[in-house]
Amino acid sequence: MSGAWTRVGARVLLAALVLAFAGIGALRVRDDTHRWETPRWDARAFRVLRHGGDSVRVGGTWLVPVNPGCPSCLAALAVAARRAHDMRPRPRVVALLVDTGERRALDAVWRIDADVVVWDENQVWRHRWGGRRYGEVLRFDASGALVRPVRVERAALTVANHAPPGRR
Amino acid sequence: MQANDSMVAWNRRTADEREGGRTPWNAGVWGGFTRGGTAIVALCVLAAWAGEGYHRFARLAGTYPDVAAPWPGAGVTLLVRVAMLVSEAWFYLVVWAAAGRRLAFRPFVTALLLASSLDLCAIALRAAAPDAGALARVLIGGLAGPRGLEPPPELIAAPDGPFATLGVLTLGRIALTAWAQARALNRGLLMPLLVTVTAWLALHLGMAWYADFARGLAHGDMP
Repeated sequence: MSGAWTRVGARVLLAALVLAFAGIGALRVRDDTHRWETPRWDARAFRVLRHGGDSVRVGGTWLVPVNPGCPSCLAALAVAARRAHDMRPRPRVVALLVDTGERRALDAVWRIDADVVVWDENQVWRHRWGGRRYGEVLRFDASGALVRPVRVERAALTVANHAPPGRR
Repeated sequence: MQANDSMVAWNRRTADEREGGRTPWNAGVWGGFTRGGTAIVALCVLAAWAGEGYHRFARLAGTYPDVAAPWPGAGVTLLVRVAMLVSEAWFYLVVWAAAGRRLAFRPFVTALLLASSLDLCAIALRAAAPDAGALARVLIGGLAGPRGLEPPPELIAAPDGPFATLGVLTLGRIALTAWAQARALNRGLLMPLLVTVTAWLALHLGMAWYADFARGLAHGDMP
């Protein structure tokens, strides 16, 4: 009897695993087929908490979504800022504070290494753009159009070529 | 000689004896190691996992401010690895229980621990890939999977496909896992091999899909 129950329990457990596998696949397909807005850099979509970097000749914008409570993504932002500083023309680095309340955003604003700090109070990045990963660098050209996201360590290599989307 | 005797004795036991929960934990482990020999090899593999964790955390600590120091990192790695091996053994236990067969847990998890030394080799090879020459990198790619050909990302891990770690060593690990099941169940290799390959594919596809979902697919792949 206990053998039969063990077998039934094991089958139920396996069925649950198969369902979990199918569920993950379904989530991925749903995410892949969802029509997200193409990100566009427009400061008016966010609340600007700190503005600077106007004195440099700006070659586009690097937007880095970060959460103030995440040391790793703040480190990624610092690396992006260092890389940007060495570029000619230099991109403006914008820290986009996401998934955080107003008080924490205001507390964090002075310890963030970026030209501009904006707060995503309406969850544009997550809910309209479909963003999920803190610390990725979204690269925009001078008109605010998305060029492509770049990995931080490759940003220095690719940012010099400002080709419009679709030409790479 | 002692090892051969141990293997013969193990093979003489009936399936019921082996499936009755009285199975010695080293029974049937890779050609019938003695208990002491199995314990020594198992401890070596555990120590190697701790060492791998130490070096991994030592590398990461300089980049990530919130990464633990190397020694606690080694402990965490060891605990996580043991938990993963136990979970893996439990998974196969459940699969075979669903088919009405009982897999002895302790010998099987010991066999998995010993087989995990192949995972360690693959990790060590991948870690050596960025400094290796062109020919060595090709060899590493074949042995440890194409992920070994990529230099480690500075901050954000590159999205890996489900087969990024598939190389000769992974195939060997799959084969050893299937063989351990076949021995423990006293049956042919084909069905355990099918079960293991299916489990490997499902796990790696599921992890890749989850990684895709977690990073978001809205803006396409990162270059």
